Amino acid sequence: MNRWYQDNKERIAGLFPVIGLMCLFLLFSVTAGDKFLSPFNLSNIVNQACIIMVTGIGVCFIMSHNNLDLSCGGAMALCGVITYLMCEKISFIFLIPGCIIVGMLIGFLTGCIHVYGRIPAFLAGFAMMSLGRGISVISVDHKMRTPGIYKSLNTVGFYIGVLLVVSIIAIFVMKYTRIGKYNKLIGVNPITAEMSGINVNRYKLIAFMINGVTIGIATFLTLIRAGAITNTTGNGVETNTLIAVVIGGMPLAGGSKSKIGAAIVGALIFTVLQNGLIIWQMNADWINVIKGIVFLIIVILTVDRKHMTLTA
Amino acid sequence: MTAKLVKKVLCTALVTVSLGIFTGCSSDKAADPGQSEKAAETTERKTEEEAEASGETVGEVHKIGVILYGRDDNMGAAIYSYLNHAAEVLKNVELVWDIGAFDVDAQISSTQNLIAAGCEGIICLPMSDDTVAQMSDICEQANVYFSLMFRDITDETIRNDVYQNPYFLGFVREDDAAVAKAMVKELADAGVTHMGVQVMASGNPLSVRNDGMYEGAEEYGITIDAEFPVTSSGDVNGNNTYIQNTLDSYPDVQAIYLTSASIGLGEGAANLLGSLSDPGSVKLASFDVFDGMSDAFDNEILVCAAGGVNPDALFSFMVLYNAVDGNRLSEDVTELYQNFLLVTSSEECKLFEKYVGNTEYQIYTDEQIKNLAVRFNPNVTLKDYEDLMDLYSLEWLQENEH
Repeated sequence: MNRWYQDNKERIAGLFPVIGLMCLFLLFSVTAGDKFLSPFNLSNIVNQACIIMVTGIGVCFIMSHNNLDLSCGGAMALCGVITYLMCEKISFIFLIPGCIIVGMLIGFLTGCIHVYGRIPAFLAGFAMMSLGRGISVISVDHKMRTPGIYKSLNTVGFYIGVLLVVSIIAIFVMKYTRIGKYNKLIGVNPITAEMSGINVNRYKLIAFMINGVTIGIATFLTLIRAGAITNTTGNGVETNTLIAVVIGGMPLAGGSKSKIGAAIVGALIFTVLQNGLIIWQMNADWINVIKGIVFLIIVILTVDRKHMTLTA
Repeated sequence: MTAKLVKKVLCTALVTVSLGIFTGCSSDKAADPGQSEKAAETTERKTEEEAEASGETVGEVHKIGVILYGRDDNMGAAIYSYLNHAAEVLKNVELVWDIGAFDVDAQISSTQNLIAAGCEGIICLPMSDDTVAQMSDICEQANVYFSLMFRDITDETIRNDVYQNPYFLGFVREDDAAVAKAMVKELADAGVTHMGVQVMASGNPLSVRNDGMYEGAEEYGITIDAEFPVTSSGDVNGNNTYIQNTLDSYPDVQAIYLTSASIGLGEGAANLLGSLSDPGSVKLASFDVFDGMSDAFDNEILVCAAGGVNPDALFSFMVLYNAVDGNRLSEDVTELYQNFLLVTSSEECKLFEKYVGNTEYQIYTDEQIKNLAVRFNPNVTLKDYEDLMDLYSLEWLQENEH
């Protein structure tokens, strides 16, 4: 038994976030059954978690090579403003591809600042976040409302569809392509990766671009969910995304254990907890304390202490 | 081995603490459903007995959700206190609080979560018109009433859409522009000719304060030397840095005008101006009141502070309560306006602190609150609401002391 445990220790540890999510789900299902399990509420959970899941999937690529991205929220605001203004001049038919392309370019720019400017990724991301936040505030005079044709997409079916497509592609890229494999190898040891003939900068840059694509998709989802780009678009997304990804079981130092599922499980834990505590009518003063304790428990159980550096 | 042990002990301790909190802090609907039903039943029976004793019947208990940015400043704490008190007085209403939502997306999530929690009505202090637009759609689909406090809808398109929603009850807000202008007059009367101003971001429903401030500056002949934004996260240090830079770059500036001094910005600014080599040489006018105003008046730093609009929340809540209780006051959208209190001296400040600054003091008596509810006062109309709101002033607060 003990030997079996030793052999499968890592696999079991990897399951903790899923077990945590299941426990939370079970707890709220039992204690707030009708309300928590109502179709309205379940679709709320998906609806609320979707944006964090999508940005989290992109962040997994950045974290897989042992980096952090703090740009998500600001980059979403920037992506939204640029795409909206461009589409206003051309046509709103291009809103979806526009968001993706602009998001990818923002990711590319952040990556270039990090890779070629030799600036730590979290600083490059922070700069991008400030830039995006500033531009969204400056341009707030210009009303950027979601065109009517896209409002009908604000359904749980659409969110699930987008999430499925993004997840399947991301899992495939992370698991079966050189992009995922090399990024994980860079996360384990960038010098070894470089000596093995891998173009480290190139693959890091690709990871930033993938992150940019997910930021673009999240921006579009925000546009249809919030109905507009405002000066608060993307507020706090970077923090929520990082928390979600980490509690979902993504190693802080990236490497071979990096997995896309961390973003999905983590975002669900984050959202289910928030949702369930409100349904419980938890004392407002204690909600953050409880969230903090639950996150701490999950992190203590899941974090990989052997690979906890945050340098790249 | 030791590390493993520490990890195990830590986990056990955390799990125990969290379980304790789960069971101790949740409402009577939490924990074991059987137990919670019993607890709810007991509470209900007790409430009914109490109600019978006081000659009132409770009937169905309604749930109303409140979306609030926070409760650690004076306004947030007051809203929390007033609404909880009103719920206690009215007896047949239970509040579900969602505190901390600071942006459109978070407020949409809050709306969804409160509806899922079974709320029949939602009262919100929206962060922007876009929140209201989305909230309106969600509430209409769920047949849930909603009303706004401290804000109206500035965007015409959104206003027209939301006004069509039969579940939108209306709003209570203040004439920010007029008070913003009056504050500039106070500065001009104090001899200020140059000022640096903190401006509200365009698009923010409170940006009308900028308009009043600019109009006042033009009318009363004050030059605006520098402008700086309200920090998006309400960061006190960031705000003080802006003020410091303004004073360093524009030595002629004689006053700082804050269009938003909530969440500690007022205290921070007063402290900074009080720490200058010549305290009182740079005056402060503050939209929103803050802790330590009395000292700032005594030290001749603060010229005026506008605030005291906290009861706004109560009136918006009562409009919502009546609708949820099946006694909608008007089929049209209700638009009510609350007076500001402009505090201009240390004496007024003491009065303000006594009645408004002390969030545990209930401005309106239980009787006044009940009189706003159709259940207790079937003849109440919106005119009664307006009349009571018009009385609101520092003098009235003294007369109404209870």
